[in-house]
Amino acid sequence: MIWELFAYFAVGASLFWVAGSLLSYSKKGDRPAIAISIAGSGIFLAYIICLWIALGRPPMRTMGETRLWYSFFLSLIGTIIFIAYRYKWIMSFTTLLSLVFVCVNIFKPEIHGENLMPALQSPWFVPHVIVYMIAYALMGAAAIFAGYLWHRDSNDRPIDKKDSDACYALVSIGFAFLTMGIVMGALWAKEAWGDYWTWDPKETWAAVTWMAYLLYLHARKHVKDQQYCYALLIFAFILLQICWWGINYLPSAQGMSIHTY
Amino acid sequence: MKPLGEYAKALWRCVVLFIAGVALQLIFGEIHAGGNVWVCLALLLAFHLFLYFLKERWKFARSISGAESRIVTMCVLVILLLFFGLIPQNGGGRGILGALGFHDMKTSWVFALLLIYFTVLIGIQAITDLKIKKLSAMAIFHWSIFAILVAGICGVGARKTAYIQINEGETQNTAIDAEGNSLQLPFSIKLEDFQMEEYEGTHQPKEFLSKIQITSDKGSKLASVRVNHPARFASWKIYQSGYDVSKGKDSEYSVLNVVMDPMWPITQIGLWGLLIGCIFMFIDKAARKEVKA
Repeated sequence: MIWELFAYFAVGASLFWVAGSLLSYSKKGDRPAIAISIAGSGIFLAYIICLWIALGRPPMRTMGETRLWYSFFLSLIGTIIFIAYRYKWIMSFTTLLSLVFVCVNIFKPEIHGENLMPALQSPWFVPHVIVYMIAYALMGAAAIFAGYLWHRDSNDRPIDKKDSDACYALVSIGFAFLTMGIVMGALWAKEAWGDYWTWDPKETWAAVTWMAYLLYLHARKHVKDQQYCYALLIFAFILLQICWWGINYLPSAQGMSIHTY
Repeated sequence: MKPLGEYAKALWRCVVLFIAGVALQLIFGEIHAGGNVWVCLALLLAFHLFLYFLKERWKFARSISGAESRIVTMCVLVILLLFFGLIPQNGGGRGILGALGFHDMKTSWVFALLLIYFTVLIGIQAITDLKIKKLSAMAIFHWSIFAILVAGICGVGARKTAYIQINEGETQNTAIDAEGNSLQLPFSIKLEDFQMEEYEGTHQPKEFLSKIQITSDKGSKLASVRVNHPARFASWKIYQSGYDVSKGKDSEYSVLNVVMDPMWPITQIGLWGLLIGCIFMFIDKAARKEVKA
């Protein structure tokens, strides 16, 4: 029942987000754009809270539930970047990416029962998932940024140091969240099943994603042709998607991961 | 002949390690963890100090600690980890991938050598970071990751993990590890009771636990073992692993996982260190923004 309500909240939030994104292009539209976008995120958050209450457990168990958090955090991050840097295009892109996941949820709702299995009854559950979803959203924004910078660079247009620094800042903060996610996972795993790292497919892909972003952080200052760095960020984001949901479809990971949900 | 650039040198080092790994894999087969942890640890740490002190005098040591070296090594590790993720990890030595050990990457010499090399690079950087007076997120990250990797690599041989299936009322003091070998425990476990609570109206487990009595020559104690709440005994931890799923809450036996991990305290310090490092990274970013404004 509660999932059926999702479409209404989603449409409401989406209208606000799109309106906010469009307003950010107009001359005096900054303040209304921010307010309307935040209102959109608020509507979305209201749905998540309703879902949490209806389920009687944190809505972080199924793929569909994690997508809700992703859309929510990404919309907030887009708005925050706009507030900090006033890039006219950022909210359009974060809205677009959020909507992709909203649509997936509408067309492939993953309804799951209320009951939280014992393995998930841990104080680590909520922080681990939330921190990861924030990281994913930040990296999504960074990938969008990298695409923009790569496009500019390959058309030989000059890249403002401010823009390049903004991209680096996004990845740094995203990397901090990503690291916290892995660490919380390891500490939790030790409590739950005796070993902090078992090279479960989810863990292996989390490691390669982490390493790819780590590589960017080191390469960025040293590599002459920054286009490699932009490409790396987009590649790393693909790795992230595989880690998040791609492993459910990978032949090498079939039936082998504790993390499939 | 033109001298090789730093990137090329770094790549050559990885190639050499790769070939060495392949050779070891072909000669010895997959790595069977064992050996003295503390010797391993001492050797690794001594090696770092050695390389660090030679940095000023030995070009090779300088080259290894350069930015190009780090970048190339991380690239190589990304590629290896990609293989790890894409190739089915179901063991076996079939085909080229099997010969390289890529069907069980975690016991492959190739992966082990490159991972140890990566650890060495981080270690050298960590020692170099000590020169910087101000505590930075970067230094914390380097030391934490170094601790985690060293404890992980050295700990693999020392870690013991095995399973016991005990029936209610029964006592056992041996467990079986992943390879089917029997492990004699320094204590015995008696399963007093296995309890499970289901969600109302369903057969989905809400909570399940084992009430056990652990006895050794030092005495006896009662403990309760639940998922996410292991019992502790000496340097061992006992985890609730499973039960008779066909009988559900009427299960007459419980499956427990006994684990001993002597390097865990070091790993734990590294993990918490990373969390602190992340917080430093936020503070750093916030501080930098203030300076800009």
